[in-house]
Amino acid sequence: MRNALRLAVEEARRQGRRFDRRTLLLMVTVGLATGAIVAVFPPPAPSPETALFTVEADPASPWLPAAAADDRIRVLEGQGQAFASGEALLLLSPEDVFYRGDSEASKAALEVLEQAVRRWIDARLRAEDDLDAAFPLTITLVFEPRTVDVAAVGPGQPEPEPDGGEAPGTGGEGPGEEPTPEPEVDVLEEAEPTGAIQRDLRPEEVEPPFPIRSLLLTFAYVLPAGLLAQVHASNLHAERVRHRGVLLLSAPLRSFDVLVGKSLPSLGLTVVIAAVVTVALGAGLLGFLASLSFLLFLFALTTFLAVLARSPRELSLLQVAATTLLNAFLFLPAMFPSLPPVAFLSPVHVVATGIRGEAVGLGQFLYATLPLSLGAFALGAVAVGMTREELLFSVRSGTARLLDALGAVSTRRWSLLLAGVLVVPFVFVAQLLVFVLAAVLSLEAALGIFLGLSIVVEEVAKGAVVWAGRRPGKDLPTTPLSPTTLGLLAGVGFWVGEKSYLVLTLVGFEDLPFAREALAVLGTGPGLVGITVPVFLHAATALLMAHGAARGRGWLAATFLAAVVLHAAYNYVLLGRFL
Amino acid sequence: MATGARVVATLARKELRDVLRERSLVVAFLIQMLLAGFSALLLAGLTALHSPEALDAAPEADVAFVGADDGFAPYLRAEANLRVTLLDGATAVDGFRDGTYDAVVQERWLERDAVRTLTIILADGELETTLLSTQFRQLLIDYETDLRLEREGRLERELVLLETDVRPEVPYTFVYTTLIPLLVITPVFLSGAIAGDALSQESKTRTLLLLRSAPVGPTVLVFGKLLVPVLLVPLQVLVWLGLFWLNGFPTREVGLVVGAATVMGVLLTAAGTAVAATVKNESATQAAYAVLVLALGVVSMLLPRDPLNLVSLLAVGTVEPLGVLTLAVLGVLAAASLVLAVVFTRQRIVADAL
Repeated sequence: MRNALRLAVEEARRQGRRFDRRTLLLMVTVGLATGAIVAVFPPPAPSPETALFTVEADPASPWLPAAAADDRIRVLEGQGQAFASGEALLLLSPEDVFYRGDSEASKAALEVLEQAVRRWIDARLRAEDDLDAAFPLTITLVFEPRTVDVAAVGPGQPEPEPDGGEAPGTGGEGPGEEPTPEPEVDVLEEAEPTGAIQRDLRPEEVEPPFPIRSLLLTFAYVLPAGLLAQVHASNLHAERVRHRGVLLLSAPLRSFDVLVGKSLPSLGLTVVIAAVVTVALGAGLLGFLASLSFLLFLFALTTFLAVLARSPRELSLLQVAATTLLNAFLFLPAMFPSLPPVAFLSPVHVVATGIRGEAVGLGQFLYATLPLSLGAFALGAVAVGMTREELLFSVRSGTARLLDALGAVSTRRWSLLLAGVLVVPFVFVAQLLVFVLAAVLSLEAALGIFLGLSIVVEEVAKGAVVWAGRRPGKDLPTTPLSPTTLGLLAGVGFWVGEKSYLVLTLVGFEDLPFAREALAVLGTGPGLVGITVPVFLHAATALLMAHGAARGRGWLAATFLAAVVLHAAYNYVLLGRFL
Repeated sequence: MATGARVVATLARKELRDVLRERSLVVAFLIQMLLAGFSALLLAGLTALHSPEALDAAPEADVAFVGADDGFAPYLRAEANLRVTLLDGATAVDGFRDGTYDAVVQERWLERDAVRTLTIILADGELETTLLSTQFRQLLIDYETDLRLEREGRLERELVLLETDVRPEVPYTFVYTTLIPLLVITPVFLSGAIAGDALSQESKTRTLLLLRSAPVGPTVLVFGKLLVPVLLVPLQVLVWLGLFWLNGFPTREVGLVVGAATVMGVLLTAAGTAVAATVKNESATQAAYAVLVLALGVVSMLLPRDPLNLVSLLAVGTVEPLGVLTLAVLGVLAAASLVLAVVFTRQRIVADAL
């Protein structure tokens, strides 16, 4: 560790030197010049819609002043020539507005004109004496957070109790029936909202909330941290160009020291970013820890990719793809805040809850952060494993390198067990995402889709471990294990890792539709039997594939299919037996 | 001169090979693809905002209504996706809390012809809320218009109205004002990045020395290096416009859109090359170029039509004086920056500073 620290200091110093005086001067000059220009001529906000809709108007048309007042509309005066030629999208005559039914542009223009007219008349009516007649409505709007008990709700859309007769209170559906509830009760006082209250709105001012707020939260963290990780990764990668890093590797340091040392400065900055953004958002300590889980995952992922990618281009490609996927994983589940088992799949929801000042249970916190934290650890371990001369500079295809990476962890007999454990977080994340989305989107076939995909995902993961363990990196000095040992170790490792699914039971996951079945399938079924029995399945399928792998690619494919079938049969029996 | 052109062409071919081999083009395309995929997601969200019915996403929802049944309630009830239940305040709020109701609406007034107050409670942070409040907004606008008409006699000014249910069936405005401009501008940014990258690579690997030993003048050399990044711009833009055309969003002034993008491409390619010639170091070049592009983006808002607006206008076929003026200004700036960049880079090469 002392070595790692020394390397870290050196690395930080080197980074500082990269921007020479000339570059800094250039950047500062550009910044200052822009600032000066903007200060003298403040630019208008970008308005890509300006003048986009050309309309033709008769000077006597009552809608002309409204159209002219809106900068999205370009007005040509005329009696129909421009409209006929197609230059104008609408024709405003003294009596009517004409549009073209076969033109989307014309219909869009009509919609814009409708808004323009409303804005114009609103502005005019502001001068009226009788404001009750001019503005007969005033609106109070509250967006109130709530938690829906999933147990009470079927799959998909929250369904209310059957409508009609037994509806609580004085409910009635017919128009103009009895109830005129006393107007004194204010639902606002009744609700005691914690959300912000928007008062005195006009109908146009009812702004639908941005539907993907969780996306913005995600970006607030991932954008700066992603940029940093990218710089770090391209640095690491540069060491691999032309064997530059070979000097460092030949120093009397462990690969752990080398990689961790070179990563520490950026890692420290990542933690700073997490802290700064969390403070800026006001998300509290748990929010900070949750953000650490995914930022560290992002960091580990980029580091791993830097060790894996063969060229800077490949690195940036992989990075963009990985970051986009991670973003999707972070913001999609958080879009369902009233369903905690879904929302807490993403640590971003912990941040969001922290911002609202609500408490997060320990189970929910673990559920949200554990998979990504474990994943970060696994990726880091693999990256360290790959930090050795034979692997860093080898010229091989991408898939082969990926398998080398897995194999690199399993240089010793027992570490294969570890490899089995390490793939689990990824399987975990993939399976949960499939399950939760399938269940929430109330697909009829939710369980079926989940079953099918999770079998494939699990067997692919085990197959990868087995294939990697079969020949752990061409150049690595390892005695190959017998297929039997290999299969058993990988299978048991997977089973051990699988037990991390138990964390699911901490969030009320069982309340989701099909959750009991899903848990059983994930190897954490009810009772001791449900927990221990899966070890036989995993050992058996891994064993099968290990023997297949020993005979070559084609055999591996065949045994993979066999493993999938076996797994499917097992699930069938299990679901019939226990549930 | 003919030999000069041939030499430029040869250099350009070499550059093109480099670019293809480096796979930056492939990466550039893939990045744009991801961008497009992401935009598609945003598109879905924004379409929902724009007009929920377009997505067929108007959610089935239960509304608890508190108040008299002859005000806003009939408007809600007329919507096919809303189930309206008349309740007292306490029950409505309880029902909202436990998820039975998706919205609480209360309407109150002191007298029938006074101001009416509507209180609306919706669940925070849910997609459904966005769709519901979009729907509510339109209903409230209709309701207000009807109330105004009822009370027209009390107004001095005449009510000018335009009410229509006609809505575009596709997110026309979003596509033409956001998606197309962004996807046209992205290749422009990339062109400058590719140009800067190419030069700093040559500088790093010291291959400029080799190139200089060829019987080629430094000016021709710089031109040759600039040509490929510039030409990639119209190519990519044409692909994007073609994809939009296939999806039912034709571009009207294809030539002018491609022309505008190419002109901006020349501008940024020149900028990227100049930055690389100044900075040399690869990653520092990228950082400096990014800062420069940001600055240019801010300053471009001062043009008669900002670049995004210009592309939108040309894409829908509006050619008007301010747009033409903008194009002309961009053209002059591009030519000037090209000359400056070539002269400057040439100087640096001749001085062996690269």
